[in-house]
Amino acid sequence: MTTESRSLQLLFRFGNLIQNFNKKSEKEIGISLAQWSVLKQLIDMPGTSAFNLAQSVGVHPSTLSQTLKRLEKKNFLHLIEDPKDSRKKLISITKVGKTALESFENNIRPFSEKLSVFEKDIDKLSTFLDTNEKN
Amino acid sequence: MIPLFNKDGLVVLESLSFTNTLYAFDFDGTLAKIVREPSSAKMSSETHSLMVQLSKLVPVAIISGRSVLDLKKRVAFKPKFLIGNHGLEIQGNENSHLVSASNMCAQWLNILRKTKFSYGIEIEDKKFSLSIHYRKSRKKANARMEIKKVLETLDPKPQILLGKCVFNIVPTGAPHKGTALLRLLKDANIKHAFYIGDDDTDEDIFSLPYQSGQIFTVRVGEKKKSHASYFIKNQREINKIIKLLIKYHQSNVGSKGMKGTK
Repeated sequence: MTTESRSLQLLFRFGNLIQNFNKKSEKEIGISLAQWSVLKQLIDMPGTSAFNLAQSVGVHPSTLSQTLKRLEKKNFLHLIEDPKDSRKKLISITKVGKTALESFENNIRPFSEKLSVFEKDIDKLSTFLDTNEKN
Repeated sequence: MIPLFNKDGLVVLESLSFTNTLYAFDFDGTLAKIVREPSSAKMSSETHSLMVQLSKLVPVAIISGRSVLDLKKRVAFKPKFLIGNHGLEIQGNENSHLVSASNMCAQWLNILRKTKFSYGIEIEDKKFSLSIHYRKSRKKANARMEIKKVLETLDPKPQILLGKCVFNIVPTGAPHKGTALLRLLKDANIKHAFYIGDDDTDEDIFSLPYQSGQIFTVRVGEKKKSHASYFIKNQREINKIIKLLIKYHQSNVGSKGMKGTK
């Protein structure tokens, strides 16, 4: 197998791992990795706009809307009227959302500790993602 | 501008307690009720006791038109930051602009003291700014005209900050409450602020460039033209807010990821 094929194979396996991880964590803990990423940003952005949140998470606003709907349904976040412009909505994390976020992070610790074997390569991986997310 | 005590307002207020937030308060008309004699303004014992509790949980700032020296006499607890003279004076921070402000105020005071004002108009020397009060005047509209006319003759021309029955004068281009708050946030490396005030001088904070969620602004009393995001009905509701802030932060104690307590 060529290096290129091996890399693609790894990418595929990695994709599968994330998919399975997401399914399991949403079923067992109530939050997927994508939802965690949104809540994690939101905790430091009280009363933010969907646009700003999407920028922080690093996704397109349209991609974010489904995640926001799911999180709102679970009462993890609350959509509020923008006091400066009633046509717009702002987003804030709720106490329930904060508790869920903490619970997710506690539950996920054993798995995230396993990822620490990649510590040396984390900067390389981050640069790789930064470059390819822009393309 | 929407009421603070509805679901939307309370959700954002609570979410401020999940992150590192500076809680800043105006003094007169906010922490203390407006009184006929400005020198007798003070916090109620309940407000004072609640502020003591709050300042143990979170970084607290008091941003007022009064001088820092005057504020210290009225605030028995130690807030993290005391800002006086409408943002010009930051406790423990002697700046060159304070020297020129003090000289300018001495010059203006000299002229104002020689002026024969009608009954009820009083001048307050706050070293770095001056306040000309007319709360005791029986004909307030006339008093306003009279003061305005005298202020127009001052040289160099002061910057006028209108308050409730008061003209505040500061050197033109002096830092205001908004710039002072932004400076506190920068120096303390805090991203978010809560600010509550009741006066036109507080608009300098209410109208800071809006970066969603950065500054959560509340006005004491609803006013259509205000730039504040939320309002409470009157000063009597201040204790309700402080109690909520204490409750939110206490419920975070021991909780992982809490950053608000310092």
